[in-house]
Amino acid sequence: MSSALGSALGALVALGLGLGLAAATLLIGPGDLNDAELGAVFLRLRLYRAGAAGLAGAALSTAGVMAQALFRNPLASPSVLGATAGAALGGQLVLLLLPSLLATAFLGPEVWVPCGCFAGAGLALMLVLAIGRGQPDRISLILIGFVLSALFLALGGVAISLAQERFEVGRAVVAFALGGVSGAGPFGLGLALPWVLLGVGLGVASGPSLDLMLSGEKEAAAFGLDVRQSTRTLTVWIAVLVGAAVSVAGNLGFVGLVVPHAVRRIVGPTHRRLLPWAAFGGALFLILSDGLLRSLPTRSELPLGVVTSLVGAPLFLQMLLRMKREGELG
Amino acid sequence: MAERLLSATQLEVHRDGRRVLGPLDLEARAGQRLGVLGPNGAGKSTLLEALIGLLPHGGRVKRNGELAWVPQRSELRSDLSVRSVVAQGRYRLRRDARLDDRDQTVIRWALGEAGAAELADRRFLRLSEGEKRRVLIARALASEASVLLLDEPTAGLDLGHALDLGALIERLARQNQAVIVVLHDLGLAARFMDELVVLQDGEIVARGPAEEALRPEVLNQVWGLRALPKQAPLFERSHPS
Repeated sequence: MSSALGSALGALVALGLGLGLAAATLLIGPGDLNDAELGAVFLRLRLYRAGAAGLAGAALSTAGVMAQALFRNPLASPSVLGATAGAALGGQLVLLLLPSLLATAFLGPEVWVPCGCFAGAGLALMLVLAIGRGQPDRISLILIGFVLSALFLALGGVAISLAQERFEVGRAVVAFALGGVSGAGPFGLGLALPWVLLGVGLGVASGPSLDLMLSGEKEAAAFGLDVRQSTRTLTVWIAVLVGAAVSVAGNLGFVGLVVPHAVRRIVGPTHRRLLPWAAFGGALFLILSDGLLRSLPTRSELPLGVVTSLVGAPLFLQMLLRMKREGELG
Repeated sequence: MAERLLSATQLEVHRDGRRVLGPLDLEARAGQRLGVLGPNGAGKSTLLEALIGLLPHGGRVKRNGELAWVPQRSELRSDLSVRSVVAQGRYRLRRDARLDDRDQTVIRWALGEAGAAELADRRFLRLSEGEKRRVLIARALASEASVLLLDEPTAGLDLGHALDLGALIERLARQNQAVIVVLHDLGLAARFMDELVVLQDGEIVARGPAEEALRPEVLNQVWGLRALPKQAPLFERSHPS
């Protein structure tokens, strides 16, 4: 069997298994699916949840791969760079301030929240690029991202305490901070879907540019890449993807770190292959995590963001230690 | 006279308010093998980077064709396959398009010419320094540029592979490419280059064929060296590697 046929078959099996598992999560969890009417309602709600988890996973994982190429740093990811915290803050501020803004007169909050998320993620990335002056060394990048995350989370905390004056706003603002897909609805999904598809498509299409970026600014420029233009484009698309993900699923940490890291080990670092699989893997990771959370016999659901951080933080530390051991930091 | 592929006039580079290169004039013609020599810190790498346009510089650089650069070492720290690294050389021509049969043929040719054919399926980061060097040369060849700039390409190469590189440079020059090579090994420079430029503190202090550029007073002034009266033993490949 040729290796191309082998990998195509392997890909089909992986896709089939993944889709089957994702579909199976729709059937687990409490609720009587035998009652036709009730069953349809449950299935529809779970489909929205799975859709939101899948979209957010694909978007964050793709944004992670892009950030890792942009900063030439396998530790870079939307949450490590402060972009998810920035996006969450953007969304929280919109929720908090929207009622007093004229904007609601034209369009509902469902439209303005994603815009706030995009702006927050974009601001975080621009700050990282400005403070790090392009490509800071690996530890500096993490420190800058850490400080920005802390700042955005603190400001988010202020937003949360201000929001407590009104119950619904308070609930929405807290849910944003914790991350989760229980409130997913068709409008938000429909709004995010085209942006995520475009972002993943653009990433795959610009695979050779991303490969070249891995060789550093000088070599990339010497072989014909417009580094400044590529940096701008990538920054905008990372912000779009993170904004879309956070608008449907709140602040989820480490997805863009864990999934690309695992997928890269299987399919290699070439972006044309890596990106579609990272997007698929990210979607699957969050759909399965959410399905598992729903089926845990706890009185109230664990927030999805808590789970991704519980998985992601130890892996981040392990990667950091390995890179320190192999002298790859700095 | 052969076509002029690259010319620099009054080229100078400043760093932190201090002039580190030039002003100098330089040109490379089709078929020329130009060696750039000088002690550490003389401005050799700076000269190459300014010629490619990677550094802000004063003066004028006229490029009559594409340039390809082989840096001293790659900044690449991701585990791409050797084939993917060499494919980077096609970027200027192909951008983000899928590589076609002709691209693959050129990549195979470049790997073969650089003596890296057997490395094609290996991971770049797991290669030895010498092997990496050959892959970077293949990447530059894959760009089919008319001017090749090599920054200390023999560092990390054993003598056999250094001689192969010299032969490759001669072959490329015969195919009408211009090759500009920064070298530390004066012996290799004298043997494989048809013109030498000696840099000291960013300025050209001697130029011309080896016997002229490496005359005793230049050796003494620039490196504090003198040539031994008896020639050291010379080597050549007894059979193809």
